[in-house]
Amino acid sequence: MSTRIALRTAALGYLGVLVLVPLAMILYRTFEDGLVAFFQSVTTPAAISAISLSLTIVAIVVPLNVVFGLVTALALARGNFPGKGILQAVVDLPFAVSPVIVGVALILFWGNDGWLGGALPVIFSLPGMVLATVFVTLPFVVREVEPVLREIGTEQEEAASTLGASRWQTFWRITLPAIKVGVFYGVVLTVARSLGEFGALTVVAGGVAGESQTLTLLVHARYIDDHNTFGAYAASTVLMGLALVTLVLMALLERRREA
Amino acid sequence: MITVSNVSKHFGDFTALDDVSLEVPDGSLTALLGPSGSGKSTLLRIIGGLEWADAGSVVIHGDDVTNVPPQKRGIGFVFQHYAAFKHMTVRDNVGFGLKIRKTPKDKIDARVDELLNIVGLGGFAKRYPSQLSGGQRQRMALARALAVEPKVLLLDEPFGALDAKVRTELREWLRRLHDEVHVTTLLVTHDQEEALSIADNIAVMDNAHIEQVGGPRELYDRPANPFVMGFLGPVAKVDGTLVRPHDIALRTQPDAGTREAQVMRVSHLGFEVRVDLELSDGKPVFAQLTRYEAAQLELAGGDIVWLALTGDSDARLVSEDDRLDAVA
Amino acid sequence: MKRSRLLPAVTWIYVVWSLLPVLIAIRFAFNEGRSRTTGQGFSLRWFWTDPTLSVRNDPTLASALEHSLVLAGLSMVIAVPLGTALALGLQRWRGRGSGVSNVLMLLPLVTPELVFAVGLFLLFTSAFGFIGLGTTAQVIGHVTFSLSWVVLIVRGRLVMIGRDVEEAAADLGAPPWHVLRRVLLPLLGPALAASLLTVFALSIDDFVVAQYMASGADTTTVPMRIYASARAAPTPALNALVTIMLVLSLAALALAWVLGRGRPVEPRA
Repeated sequence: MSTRIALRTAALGYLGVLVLVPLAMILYRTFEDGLVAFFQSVTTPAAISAISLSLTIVAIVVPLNVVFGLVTALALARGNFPGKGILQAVVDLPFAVSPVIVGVALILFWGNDGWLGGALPVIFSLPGMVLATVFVTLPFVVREVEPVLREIGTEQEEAASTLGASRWQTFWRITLPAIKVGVFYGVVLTVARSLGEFGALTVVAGGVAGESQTLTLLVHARYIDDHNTFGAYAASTVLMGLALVTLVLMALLERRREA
Repeated sequence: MITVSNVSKHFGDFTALDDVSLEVPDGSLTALLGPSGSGKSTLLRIIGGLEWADAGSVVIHGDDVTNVPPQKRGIGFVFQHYAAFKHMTVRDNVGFGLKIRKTPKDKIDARVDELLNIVGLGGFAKRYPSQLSGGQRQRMALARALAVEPKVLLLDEPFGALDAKVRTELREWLRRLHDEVHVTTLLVTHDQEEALSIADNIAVMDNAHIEQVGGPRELYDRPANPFVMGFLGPVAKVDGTLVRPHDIALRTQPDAGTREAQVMRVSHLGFEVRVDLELSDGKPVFAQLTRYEAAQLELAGGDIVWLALTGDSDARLVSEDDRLDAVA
Repeated sequence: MKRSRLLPAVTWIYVVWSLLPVLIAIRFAFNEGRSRTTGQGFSLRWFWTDPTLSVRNDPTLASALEHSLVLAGLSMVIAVPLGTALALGLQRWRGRGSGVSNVLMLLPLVTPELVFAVGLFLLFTSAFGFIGLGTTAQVIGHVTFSLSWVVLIVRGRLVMIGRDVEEAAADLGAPPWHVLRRVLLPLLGPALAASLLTVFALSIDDFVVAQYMASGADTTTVPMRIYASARAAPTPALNALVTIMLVLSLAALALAWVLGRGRPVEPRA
C-alpha cells in the first residue's frame, strides 16, 4: 500500500511542478498588474480580431465536421461496403500527422508554387486555415459517435421503419437523439483542438496582425516577435480560460454518458 | 392472409431459408416454431420487410409486397428486446406511428389512451421506458405496433427476454388480446409449450425448411417426422418405434405384445411420475404415468415390468435410425 | 433494408479530399527531378542517394532527424515508467485528492500546446533557469505532455485486469514489490508497449514545445526543420523528410493500436 502512495506522490509531484507551476506563473504574470491591464491587453484591435478569427474558424469547422463525422460514423457502424476496414484506419490518420506537416502539405498543394499552381487563393487566407483545422479535428466526432451507434444497435431504427418513418425521419427522430451526447462530446473536443491549433496555422496562415492571426498566432507573435511578454501572457490566459471551459463541459458530458 | 411462396435467403455461405412456402390464415394466431438457426426469425423479418428475400414472393392481403419497404406494408412488428424509443415517453412511443402519419394531436392522444388501457398501462403515459419493467415495455411495444391499425402483427420471440412467470402471464394475455382484436398474428418462438398453448396454427421449422404445418393437436398427435415429434413433446423409443412416454403402459404381468423391462428409477414430479427403465437389450427408455397409475403399480427400483404401447397408433413413428433416442 | 451507396461514397470523398495534400507531398518525395510539383519519374535520391541534398547526406536534415530520435528515445524511457507509476497510484484511489489528481492528469490534454509551451519557457527562463533551455528542457516538455497519454492507456488496461489477480498474489504471500514485478507488469505488457510507441509518435511529431524549448541549431528537430524550410524554396528532400516522419508516426501508432487491443485478460467471473 505504501508503494502505491509513494508512486502516486512522485508522479503527481512531477505533474504539479511541470504543469501547474508554469500555468500558475502565466496567470500570475497576467494579473500582477491588475485586472484593468489584463483587460486592456486582450481588447486591443489586434486581440479582438484574433479572438474573432479563432471563433470564426471554429464556427465553420464544427458544422463541417459534425455533418461529415455523422455520415462517416453511420457508414462505419451501419454500412457494409468494400474498403470499410481501410476507411476505419484512415479516419484516425490525422492523429499520426504532425501539424507542421499538415501545413506543409497544404502549401505543396494549394500554394503558388504548388501542385495546383495557386489556382485558388487558399494559402495565407481563411480557406487555408479552415482546411488545416478541419484536417486535425477530422476524427473527433466520428470516434465519439461511432461506438454509440454500434451500442444502440439497429432495433429502434427498424421499429421506426415498421411504424412508417422514412429513413430521414428515422434518423432525425430516433437515431440523432440517441447519439446526442456522443455528438456533443465530439464537438467539445473539436472546439478545444481548433482553438489551440498552432503548428499547422503557423505554416499556412499569413499571420498578419489584425487580419490573418488567430489567438494562438497572436500569442506567439507577441512573445517572440514583439517581445510583448505581458501581452502574450494575457492572451494565453484567454486561451487557458477556454481550455477550462472545455474541461468543465467534458466532465459534465462524461457524467451524462455514464448515466 | 399472408402467402409466402418459394422464398430463399442466404447470408454469404449460410442458407437461412431454402425454398420456403407458407400460408397464414386470416385472423389466426400462427406460430413459427423451431430451434435457433432454423430460419424462423429470418422468415418473419422478410415478411415484415426488414430483410429482402433472394428469391420468391410475399403477398399480404392480396398485395404483392416482395419489393415494398417496411414503411408501406401495413405491418406491426414487436421485437424481442422491445426496441423502445428510450428518449421518448410511453405516450410518445405509442403515438409515434400516428405522428408520422400527421394525425391531429387530439386524435393521437385519444387513440394512445385507448390503447394504453387495452394493454393495461393506463396511468403510465408520462413515464419513460427505463422506468418500466420488461413485461410492461413489451406491452407498450404491442400498443405501439397496434396504434397504426396494421393488417398483420409480427412478433419476434416477444417473450424471450422475460422471466418465466412473466412469460406465461403475458402469453395468455396476448391470446386474450388476439381474441378481442382479431388481427392476423404471426409469432416466432422456440418454446413449444408457448406455441401449443396459444396458437391456432403452428408451422414447425428446422434448418431453413418448414417441416410441418397444422393445429396444435394435429402436430402433437400426428407428427410428420421424428424431428417434429421430438420438438413438440417428449419421445421414447421402444424397438425402433417412437412413441410418447405417456402412451407406454406398465404391467406387472406379461401379456401378448408386451416387452420386458427393468425399473431403474422412479421420480415423483408432482402430478406426473417418471419411470426410467432399461429394456432387455440394454437400451434406456422412460414412461410417464399419472400419480394414480403409479400408486396402483407400487413400483420400486429393480422391479421387472412389461411395457405395452397404448394410445392412438397413428401417434407413433417408426424410426429408421438411432437419431432420436429417449428424448426427455 | 436497402443498402445505400451514397453514405460510403460521401465519406470516402470527404476523407480523400482531406488527405490528398499529404498524399501529394509523399508522391513528390520520390520524384526523380527537382520539382516538387511536376512529376518527374521515380527515385530514392532525396532519401538516400543524392550526395549533398538527400536526407542522409544533408547535415542539417540528418542532424534534425537524429535529434528528433534522441528526444523521442529519452521521452519514452522516462514517460512510460513515470506514467505507469501514476496510473498504478491513481488506481482505485477513492480518498481525498483523487478528483484533483484526475484533473491534474487531464490538464495537459486540454491545455493548448502553445500555452503549455509558453508556460514552460517562462519556467525554464526564471525559476528553473539553472536548467535553462535546450535538450533537457525539450525532453522534460515532451515527457510532461506524454504522461497523460500513458496514464490513460495503462489505466485502461488495469481496469481490464481487475483487482482479483493482485489480491490473489498477495493472499499467496507475495510482497508488494514482488506482486508488481512478477504479476502486474507482465499483464500490463501490451499497454506498456502501446504507451512506448505512442510517446514515440507524440515526441517526433511535436513542434511547439520543441521550438520553444530549443536553444540553437543543435536542438533542432525535424518538425522545426520542416517549418523553417517550408517558406523557402526547398528541394523534394523536404518531402522526403515529411514522408519519413509520416511513416515513423504511422507505424508507431498502428503498432500501438494493435498491441493496445492485445489479448485481454480473462473476464472476471
